[in-house]
Amino acid sequence: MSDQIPVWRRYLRLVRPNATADLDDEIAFHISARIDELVAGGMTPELAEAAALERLGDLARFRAQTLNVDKQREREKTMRDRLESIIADASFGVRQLRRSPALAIAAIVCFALGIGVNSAIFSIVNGVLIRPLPYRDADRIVVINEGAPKMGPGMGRIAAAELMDYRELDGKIFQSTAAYEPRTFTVRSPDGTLDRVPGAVVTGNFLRVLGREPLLGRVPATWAENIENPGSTPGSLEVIVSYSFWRTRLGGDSAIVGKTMPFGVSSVATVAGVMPPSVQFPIGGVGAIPADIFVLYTLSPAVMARRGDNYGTWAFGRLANGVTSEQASAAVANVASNLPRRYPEFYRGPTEQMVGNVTSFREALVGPVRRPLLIMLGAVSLVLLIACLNVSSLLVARSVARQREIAVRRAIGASRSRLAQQFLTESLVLVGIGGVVGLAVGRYGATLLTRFDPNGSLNGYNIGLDWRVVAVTAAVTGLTGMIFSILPGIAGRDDLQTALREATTQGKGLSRSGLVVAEIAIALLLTVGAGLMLRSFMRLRSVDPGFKPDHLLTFRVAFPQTRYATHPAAMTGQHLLAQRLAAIPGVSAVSSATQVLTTDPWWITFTPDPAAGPLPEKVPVGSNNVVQPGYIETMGIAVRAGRTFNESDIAGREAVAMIGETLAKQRYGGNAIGRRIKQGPPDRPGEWRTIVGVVGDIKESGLAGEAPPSIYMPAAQIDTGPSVGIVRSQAYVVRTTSDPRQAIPAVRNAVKDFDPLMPISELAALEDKLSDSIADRKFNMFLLTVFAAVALCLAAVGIYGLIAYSVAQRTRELGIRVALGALPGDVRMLVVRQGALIAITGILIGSAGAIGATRWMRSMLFQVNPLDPITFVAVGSTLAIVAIGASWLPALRASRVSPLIAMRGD
Amino acid sequence: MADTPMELVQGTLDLLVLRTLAWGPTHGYGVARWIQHITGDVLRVEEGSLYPALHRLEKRALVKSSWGLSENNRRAKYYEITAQGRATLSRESSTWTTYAAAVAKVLTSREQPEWAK
Repeated sequence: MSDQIPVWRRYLRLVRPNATADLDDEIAFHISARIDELVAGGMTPELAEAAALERLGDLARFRAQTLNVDKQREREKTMRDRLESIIADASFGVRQLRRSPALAIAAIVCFALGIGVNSAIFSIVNGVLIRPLPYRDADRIVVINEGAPKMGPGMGRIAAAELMDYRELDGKIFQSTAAYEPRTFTVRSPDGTLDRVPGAVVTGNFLRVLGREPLLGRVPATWAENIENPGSTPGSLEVIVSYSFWRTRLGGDSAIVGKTMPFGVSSVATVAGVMPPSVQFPIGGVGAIPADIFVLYTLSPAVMARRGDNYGTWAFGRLANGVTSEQASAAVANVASNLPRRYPEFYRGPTEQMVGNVTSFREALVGPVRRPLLIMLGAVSLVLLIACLNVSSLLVARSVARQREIAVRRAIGASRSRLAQQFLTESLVLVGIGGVVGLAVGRYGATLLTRFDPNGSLNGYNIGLDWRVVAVTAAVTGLTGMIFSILPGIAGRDDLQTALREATTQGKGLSRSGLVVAEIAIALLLTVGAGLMLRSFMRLRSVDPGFKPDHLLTFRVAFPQTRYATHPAAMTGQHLLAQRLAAIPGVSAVSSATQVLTTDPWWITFTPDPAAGPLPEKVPVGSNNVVQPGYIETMGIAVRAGRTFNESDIAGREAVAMIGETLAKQRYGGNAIGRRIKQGPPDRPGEWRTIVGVVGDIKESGLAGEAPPSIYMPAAQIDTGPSVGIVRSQAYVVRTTSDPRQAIPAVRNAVKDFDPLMPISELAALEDKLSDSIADRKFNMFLLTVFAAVALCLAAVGIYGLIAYSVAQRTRELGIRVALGALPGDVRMLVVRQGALIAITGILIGSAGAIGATRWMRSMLFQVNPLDPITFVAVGSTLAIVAIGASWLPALRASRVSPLIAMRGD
Repeated sequence: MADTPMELVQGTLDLLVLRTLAWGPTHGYGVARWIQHITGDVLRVEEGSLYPALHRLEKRALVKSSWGLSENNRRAKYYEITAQGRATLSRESSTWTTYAAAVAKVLTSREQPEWAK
């Protein structure tokens, strides 16, 4: 057999090992040894050969098996070798980093900041915008919007009675439609205190539309009946509770289904089910609080009777199979536009024409938050970019210093790919450490951010580390690693001789300067954005709300018919409570109204006095506030003309009203005292009231909003009609001489002494409520400022690094200059000028970019022009100062260079 | 007995090769001859199967190989047992003998079970 191995193959084995040939040699030896033995024993050579081969058995199979084993062995060896070389590179990289710890720490900090901050924001974006909502096929759920044409169907809410009209689309357009209204329920604690708990009333098919089943229990039978017969009132009260409510207030009792829990002031409700932990409704969108208790919404005749002027119900439906949301929009618009025709007596004035559409559920929840979030994400990506540029430039500098090392290694045989592997590994070590630290920073950052978030608008979203965040962070980390590990490779010169000589920095210098210019431009962009937000926020804070919010306490209570049977009884009760509150030491004034600082004013239609001018074409709307005497004074609202309500404005006397000054100007030509005003459209019967006073406008819905036309009526005179129930809920305002927050316990006690069964809600200082209304802007501003600060720091570090390095490179040149007579001041100027040049280039480029980019921020700004020159100039100067400051230290060092040392050293 | 070569389970062959090499380094042919000699040619292993066994043992680092010259100056690959090989050998041969003793006990027992009357 050995004769069959071709000679040329044998000689090849001198160059590289050949497993096949070796095996054949082995076997060949075995065969010839056996043949020799048999022949020595007396056999003929031919028989011996046959016998030897026979003893060997199935040679082909064994040969193949052996070659297989050898192949596997080769493979494993190669993998082990590669792993060892990578580990060697990594440990080499770590040693290098340890030798220049400043560089390592700087790079890792840059990365950790950039990646961490990105990770945090992306966690939030992921939780809010990307992660699926906790409802089945949530993209098939849509919200039904409707409204009058001038307001556009952006209102998102319907009148509860209209649900029946929209239900006609069930089966064709929707699988089913459900309605929801937020409510606050009273719940007794074991110790007797009454608490107000956020909740909701929902139609029976509510869970079905959401597509989720309760964790414990099931949808009660009474709810199921309600689907068919929406007006039916169940005999007993069965509720479904949220998971967190079950755990905190019901003790997580696993046998809770069927048991009763305290509900309302003095009764109970049966717990029919508990929601799963991840399912909240509504999700904390802007202003929405997840409900803890769900109660059935009965569409009683009273509810059905209110159409056309009562928009407080959310309607949403699950699209039927195969129906697109455009089709649903068209169908809803059709139903909406038919409403005035079907119920002409209800839809008058502003609601004469109705329009409608549907929007996706997520859009309805997330819409207002989306743009700011995406802007934040953009901003934070810019920070990461700066961080990467910084580290890039750091490492390019180092690679220039390593030119010699690279050239020598290449000369002794390292292949390009081996060097590339080395650099890649070193970079990856750096980026890897930075990335891991960044991930940790990101996780804690996201948690911190949600804790700071003012409106709790991020509640309910699952914000945490999930695979998407990890994947994105890993991708970003990897990308950064690859991008700047290529740079030293590109910068590496092949020419050994040139490299061994003085390393030329011309080419590298330009590219490094380019990096730093880019950094500065981006930092400028971010800082301009932050500056604009800052100015906007300052403007907002200085807006005059129209009243004096300092030293004011407010809370809300209700005087239900069960305990205050008649209107006079309710009025007496309200007065008595006011007296009790006024008796608290430190209280200077007390009053109450139906609404104080609300985002949800009670809109009414009204008719101005025909004697004041022609009636407007469309029936106007205004915000109605039913108040007790002394309200205007307690709030500190300015009185522009006439008088305010007093004790003699009661039922039976002349009906009076006060109006706001804008309304007076618009409808009464500024001369409203003595004229009349009526609630409701012109042709509907209603009481005409005489205007006795004109007061200043107040910003009812927070500082950022407009002041609506306002109408005030005395509570004592609203004793009949549809508004009589509303008067029973009063928001009290209490003016104190010192810090109102300290009066909170005294107020609580006063109410309890007055009526122990009366729960208090929304007890807070008015100032705090006002700042809540602008709190989300404050939060955005805070975030953006943090990013800008980080960006500025990074840019400063970048400039410092560049100038310091350039000074080190120019040591000899500077030494010569000093030797030729340059003063230290001249040298300083030289260096600082270099820094300033880079900074100015960056500032100019950045400003150009900012001019283009800030227009996207318009919606987040308040009365500030996106191209506000003051901000641009201020930011530009700040950056210039930072740049010069960062160049100063190296400049100082440069000016102290001794010419002897400079020229001697290499 | 000498007509049909007995099939050996793969692990057993490895064990025999290891034991053989424990006496001293040799080549594949030497292992074949030794096994033939000791078992009185009862265990007629298909000799080709020694080679996958030897290469496997080398892959597991239980033996190591080197090229050398045989007694009559021919190029042959010699195998030598390693320390790890010796350890494996002692461990697995005690397992094997225990197993073999147990099998022998069942096969040669005179005791009858209850259900065999």
